[in-house]
Amino acid sequence: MGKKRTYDDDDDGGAEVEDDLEDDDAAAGLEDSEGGSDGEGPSKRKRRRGSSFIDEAAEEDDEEDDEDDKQKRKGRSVFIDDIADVDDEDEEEEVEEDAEDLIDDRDVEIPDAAAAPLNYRRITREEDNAREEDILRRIEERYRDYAGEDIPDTADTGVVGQQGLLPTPNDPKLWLVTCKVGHEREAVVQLLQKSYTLAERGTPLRILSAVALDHLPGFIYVEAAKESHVMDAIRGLRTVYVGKGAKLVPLNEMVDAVTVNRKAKDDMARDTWVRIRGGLYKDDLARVVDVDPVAGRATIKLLHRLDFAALANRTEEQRKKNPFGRAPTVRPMPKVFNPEEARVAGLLVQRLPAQDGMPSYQVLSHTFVGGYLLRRVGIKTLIVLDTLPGLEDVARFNAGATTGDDDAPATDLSSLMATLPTDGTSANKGTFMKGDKVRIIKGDLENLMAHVTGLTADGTKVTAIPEIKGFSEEVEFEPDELTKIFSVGQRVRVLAGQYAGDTGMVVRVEEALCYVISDTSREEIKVFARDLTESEMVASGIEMLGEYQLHDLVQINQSTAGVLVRIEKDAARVLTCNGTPDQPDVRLYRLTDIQRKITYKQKPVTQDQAGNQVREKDFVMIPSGRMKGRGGSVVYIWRGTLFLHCKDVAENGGYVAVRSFATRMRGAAGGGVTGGSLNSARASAILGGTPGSIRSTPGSVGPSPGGTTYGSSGFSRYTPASPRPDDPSSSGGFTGGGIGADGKFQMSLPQRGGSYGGGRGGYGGGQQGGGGGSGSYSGRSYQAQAHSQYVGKVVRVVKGPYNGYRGRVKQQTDTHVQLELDAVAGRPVTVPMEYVTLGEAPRSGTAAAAAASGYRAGPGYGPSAARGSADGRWGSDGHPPQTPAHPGMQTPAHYSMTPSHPSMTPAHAPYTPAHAPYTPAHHTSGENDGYWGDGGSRHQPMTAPTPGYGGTAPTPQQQAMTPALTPQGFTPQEAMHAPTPAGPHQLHHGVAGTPNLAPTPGLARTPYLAAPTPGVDAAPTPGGAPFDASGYTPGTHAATGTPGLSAHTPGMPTAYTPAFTPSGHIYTPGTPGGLDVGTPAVLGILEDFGTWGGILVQTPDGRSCVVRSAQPDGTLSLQPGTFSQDAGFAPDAGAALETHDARLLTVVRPSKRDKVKVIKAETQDVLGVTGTLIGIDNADGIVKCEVSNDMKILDMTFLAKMVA
Amino acid sequence: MEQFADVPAHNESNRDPSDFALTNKNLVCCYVCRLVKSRNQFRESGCDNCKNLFGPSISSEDYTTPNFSGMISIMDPKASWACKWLHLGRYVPGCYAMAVNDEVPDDLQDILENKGIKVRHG
Repeated sequence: MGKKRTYDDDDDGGAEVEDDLEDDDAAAGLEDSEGGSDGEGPSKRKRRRGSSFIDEAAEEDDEEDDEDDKQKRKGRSVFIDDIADVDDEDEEEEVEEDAEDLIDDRDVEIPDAAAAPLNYRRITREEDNAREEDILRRIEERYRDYAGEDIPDTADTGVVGQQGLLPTPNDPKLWLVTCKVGHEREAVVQLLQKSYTLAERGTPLRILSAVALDHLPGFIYVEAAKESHVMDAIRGLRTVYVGKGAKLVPLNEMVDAVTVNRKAKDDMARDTWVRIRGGLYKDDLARVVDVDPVAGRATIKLLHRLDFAALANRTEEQRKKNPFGRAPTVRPMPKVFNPEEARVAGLLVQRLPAQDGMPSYQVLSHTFVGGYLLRRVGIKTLIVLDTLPGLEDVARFNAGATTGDDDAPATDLSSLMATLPTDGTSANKGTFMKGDKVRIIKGDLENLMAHVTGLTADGTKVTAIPEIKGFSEEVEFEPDELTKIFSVGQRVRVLAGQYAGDTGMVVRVEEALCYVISDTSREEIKVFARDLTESEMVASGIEMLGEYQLHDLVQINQSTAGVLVRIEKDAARVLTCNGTPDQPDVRLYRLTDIQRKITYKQKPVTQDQAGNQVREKDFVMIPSGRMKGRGGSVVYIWRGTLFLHCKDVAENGGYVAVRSFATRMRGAAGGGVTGGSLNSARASAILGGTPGSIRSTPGSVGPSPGGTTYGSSGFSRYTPASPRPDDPSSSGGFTGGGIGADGKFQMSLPQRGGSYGGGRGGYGGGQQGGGGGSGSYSGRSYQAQAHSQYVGKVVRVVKGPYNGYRGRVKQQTDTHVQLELDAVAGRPVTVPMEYVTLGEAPRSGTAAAAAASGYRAGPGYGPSAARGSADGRWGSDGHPPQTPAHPGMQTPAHYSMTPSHPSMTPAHAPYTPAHAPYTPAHHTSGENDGYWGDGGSRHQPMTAPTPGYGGTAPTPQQQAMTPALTPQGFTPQEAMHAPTPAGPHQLHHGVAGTPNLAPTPGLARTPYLAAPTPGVDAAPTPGGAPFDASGYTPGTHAATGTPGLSAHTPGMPTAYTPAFTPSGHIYTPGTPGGLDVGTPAVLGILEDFGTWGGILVQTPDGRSCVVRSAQPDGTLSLQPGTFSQDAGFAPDAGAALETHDARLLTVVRPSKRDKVKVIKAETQDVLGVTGTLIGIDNADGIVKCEVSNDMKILDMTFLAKMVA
Repeated sequence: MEQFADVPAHNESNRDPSDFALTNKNLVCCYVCRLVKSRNQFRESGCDNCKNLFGPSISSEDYTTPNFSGMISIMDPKASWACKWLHLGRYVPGCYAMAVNDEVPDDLQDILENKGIKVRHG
């Protein structure tokens, strides 16, 4: 009662309320006199005047007369239409009366209203007289008679029946209406109220229903034939956003709209396994003890992760301040509760009355029952497991069950089994397969063996032939009467559980538990026999989880990454970076917990204990701990954590996560020299390496001043190069093996072995010394610097609209820098690189200065300087290159310029050297990736083993070099030529210098292949062989040049001197050397006219042509035509192909959505690729490659418009 | 609509009748027909569809549960497609649960079985 008063929409609520009141009052006035004791009275009494209940009463009269009952029976609804048939006796009238309540009145005439009160009175009287049991008995008698007939529409209609109910176009439509979030139910209730109210007024709403779904916050569905009906209905409702209108639900979505996903609903019940969604107990397994659906809370039991000592130590003050304590920084392991532990920690342990026979305790606010912590938590914080938890989990969890007063073993199999559902509902059904060998565990045939022959038709029973002599009949069994039997050595497949899909061999059988050596992980897994079946198949195992593959490096969160070491159903075990080899941290993550797969554009580098650079594929040893003496190859590097793959480790698929500082590079010299500080070691290494050559100077300088001088830093990079030549021989001659100063070489060294390894150490040392002894420089800074050399620096804008402004570099691309101007707060501006100068940078050996000088001098320097200053920050965990997409392209370009000039001066180097850079650039190929990979994408191009160079690269280079050097007047050519197969080291030596120069011969920009350089073509000498191509190349180019030069320096003192000076410009003079070094970076751009086919060009006289064929030397055959953006390219009819030189033509730059071809690139793999330009970002184009579908960000100048 | 169920309301006279939060807490639904009303309403008037199924000895608490999900207000059970789909077409207008999340209690199950009624849970 009073229902109509309750919900009214705001608009017309007032008026209606009045109406309602009148109604009710009137009704009450009319009927209350009939006596309030009438049980049904209230509900019937307050209907509208002259309406339903009166009808019913009248109808009853009719029925008593038995008139018309057939007809009525049909019309009557729901539970009871056959009452009249049975209903002969007067005493049962009240039953009928009850029934009448449900009658729908489709075909009822409106009877005399006055009859109603009488009728009621009579019934009431009868009821009063009857005793309750009597009534009940009669009711039951009554209903028993026609049980099953016309019962509420609850019977299963089955799939077919339901199909017949699918919406048709003639059905009313559903409309989606937006409402206030959290007020969905209220909205539908209001709609019902409004509909009642308005129906009473005679202007009924024409909506048919309104649906609020719990899983659809903020929306309700309204069913109506027309949108206007919906709008009429929702108008004025305060919970509904009327203004948003109603959206029609398409016919095919109607079913979904009104279907409650049974899965989605809360089927949490006692003993349900759940996981905890977050907090201290995140992902922990728990079991529901009790559910309070009304309060939305559940009581769960789980293994606690409390740190009693910490709890006890909290002061009263802390407790007040933060009653719940702060989340511990280290997550304690889950433990079985032991009252002693808490007592020892000084906490008061109160014993509570036992629950379920388990001792229970109270510690502070925590309640423990039988080893478990009891918590009352919100249902929403729990995730109901839709499958059984894995055996491991259960076993761990069950440890808690045993610490009652009895001394049961920690993991009792029977208790374990007991915790798993045995009803076979989902777990057992269908897991018996034909051929399974089973033992009968129940019934008459108990303990007999049998062979399963199949399942019965309904799938609920298993047919099997018991192994009785002379008996070959199939017998039906309930699944729980059988248990599968496996014998040791049998090959099996796992059907369910976390290892589902895996195969393996049974190695041990314990009751219902089988120990299986998995084919995929080679580990022993424990599986319930019921989950196994015999299978000869060998599974490759599950190796994919979503997009992730087994052994991928994935990011879990900001500070955690790990390797997928096992993939289970819907989840993966991840060996994270947080563990140590002694205590690997392996966690289970679901697909959604994994953020992404980590890939590097540039290979990361980090340092080992001795400061040696560690890269992927390197072999490192673990010098301490449980894994002492073992080692593995580096598979991944992530922020100073190495993920090693160790062949002799079985757990976690052989993967071990270890901090790089806790490893030692195998074969590295670090150990020997390192006696003292790393720096000194390095310094000595450098010194050792340097003897006799100018480069020694830089090296020595670096360390001695404590590495502070900038010059030294600049050099550090150089140094490497120079020593390198020595280093082959150096193994003996040079001290400490630090020799390997050449960075490049070091890279290749690992493969070669010990002596080279030393070189690596040296290299690192050199750099660090230069850098001022910064702690951890990692190779990665190489790249990073290339692109981030400006980042964070204060620069001054010297040209353009922002001329005169000063600002800090936020980001940097090849061509532009993004500045945060000091004078213009909050809005970064983008300025071409040429417009800025490193203005106020302090000079003294600081990074900035170094960077500055580096920049000017050439790329090589830049990076090195930066690196020096990096203090390790740029190292392993340092800033990833800001603009990875552009590996140094632009910068190099700048650099290249610089060197060229200087080169002229000091060395008198031929003009060519300047160009030289280009040549190599073309040749660069992906090959050297491994080598430079992490360090210098930028350098890569240079060093990259061009096809021409091939494996033998060294040799050609040598030759090439020779010419180059010669012009410069270098005498020591013997060294250069030294490269004989017999003397690999020497070869290196000489070669080392050469490579840099090599380009020179190549002459200018012509593609390498075309380049007439004798050196190159001649290249393929076996002499090169000793070094593997990739290893060699890199070394060659960057470092190489330098050494050669420096070596010669003595002869040309003037030229060199400047080079070594700490000043930023130093390099310039050094250019000849610098060239080599810098060049690589510069050269980063590959160009091949051979890729020009199909692109649109303009001839010098302004005609548009399409390149029909292209030669690498730049000879193009063009088809003239006209081009317009709309119509595309139309060849001129009859025009003959023309031949042009590519260099004279202008490439037509593509615009957005054009088909493009990459005609220049910094890596070989991109060159010549076609794709679609899907966006332009300043000077860069975003290209979607055609074949690979990759997205590439390329400089617009690399792209040419293609014509179909 | 000669017959219809009450609009769910908490029926606590001393409280604001439009306080839906309060109502919502008190909403329960009938196991058999999924009608949703407040506990008070069930207590007072029983289930509009099933009350004659349950004799006076069965209290409303025995055949209702608060553990349901989704709600549908039905204004016109016969014309509505949603009602047809949800098999609510033969009940009186009112508020119904889209699904009942509880198992039918044993006692009630016995009674219903005696009457040959199977309960569907949406």
